[in-house]
Amino acid sequence: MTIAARDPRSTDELRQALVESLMAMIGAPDDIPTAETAATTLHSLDERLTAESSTR
Amino acid sequence: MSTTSATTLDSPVLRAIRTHTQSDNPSSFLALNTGNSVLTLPGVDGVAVHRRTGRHLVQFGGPFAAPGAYAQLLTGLREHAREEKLDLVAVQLQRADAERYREAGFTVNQIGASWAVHLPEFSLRGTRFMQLRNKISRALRNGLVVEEVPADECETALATIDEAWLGSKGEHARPLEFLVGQVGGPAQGHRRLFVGSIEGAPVSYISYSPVYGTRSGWMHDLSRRIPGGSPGLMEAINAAAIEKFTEEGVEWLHFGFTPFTGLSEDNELPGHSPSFQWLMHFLWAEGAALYPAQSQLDYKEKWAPHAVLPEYVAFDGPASIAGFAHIFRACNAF
Repeated sequence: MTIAARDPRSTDELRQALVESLMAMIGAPDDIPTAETAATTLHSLDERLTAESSTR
Repeated sequence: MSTTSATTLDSPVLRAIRTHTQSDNPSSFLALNTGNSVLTLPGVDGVAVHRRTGRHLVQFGGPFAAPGAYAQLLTGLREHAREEKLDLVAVQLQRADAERYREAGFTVNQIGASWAVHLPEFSLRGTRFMQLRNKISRALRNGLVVEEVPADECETALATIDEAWLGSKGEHARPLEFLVGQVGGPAQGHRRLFVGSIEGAPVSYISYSPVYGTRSGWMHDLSRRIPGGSPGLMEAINAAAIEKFTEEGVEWLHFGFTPFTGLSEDNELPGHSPSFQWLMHFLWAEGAALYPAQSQLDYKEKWAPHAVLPEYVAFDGPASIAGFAHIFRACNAF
């Protein structure tokens, strides 16, 4: 099972989280946990969008 | 391997951007900006231009290099970043660069586009340009006089305009750099400056940088005006510059890169990040606080560009929000 499949958030919630992670990075560009959270969110959304695209 | 400053005119940077134009990067003159670092390799014909910011190395364009040297410089920059424990992200890659980076294992996404007018086809005649002509006429009726002048003859006036312009942007406004042009410094002799004055007082200016390659010409680069003045100042200056360039037989006037614009599924490469692609569309629609892409494009579209050239970002690894944010940090946006 992939990270995206386990992520309980909806696609729209993941998109919102991605935007929030960008804002968080701008607010704390040297903060490593913020960068890691952003990376996880982007990865989850990538997998979700790829899966949705393949089922269309 | 060595890294040096970009700006001296006998540096390999100027020679490289003039000679190695295979990628047709219309913004290549920005490689000469003060504050850039340059990677060269012994016996390798070309340069890789970059800036370090935080834990990231942000590269401007791809390597400006001989065909056989391109991969060596890209590998060299990757190794340099890894030795310094920095994450490499490249921005303002052209399509040819983007394909090379993808082949090298980078994650590549469209980040925006640059826009250009083919001057032999351009005319301000016709109903399409009626509003633009009216704005230009208003500026001229308000007494605007446009002249091309050497920058060193009007340094104080330019500084006054810059100060007033920045002051109008708010208390925390910072002048952007890296992906925007400069006026002055060792590279100024290669640029052209058009200044607009009213009653003898300079009120606005546009700096144009040379563009090399198959779409050679000039790039409408840094522009500033004193806020609250006559409408149409920038349009009138640019129209005067176009008239002069056309007389000289210049082929292309470039308007430069605008992030989040010109996005198209057709421009994406295999292996791109769908999340990052979505984010670019979101920032086009909702991201004016990060970068005013729509108002920037409004100005460029007034001139009915003939060419829309996609530009790319490449991450050495998966697409990265941190890497993307550090492009803006390298630009002094925050």
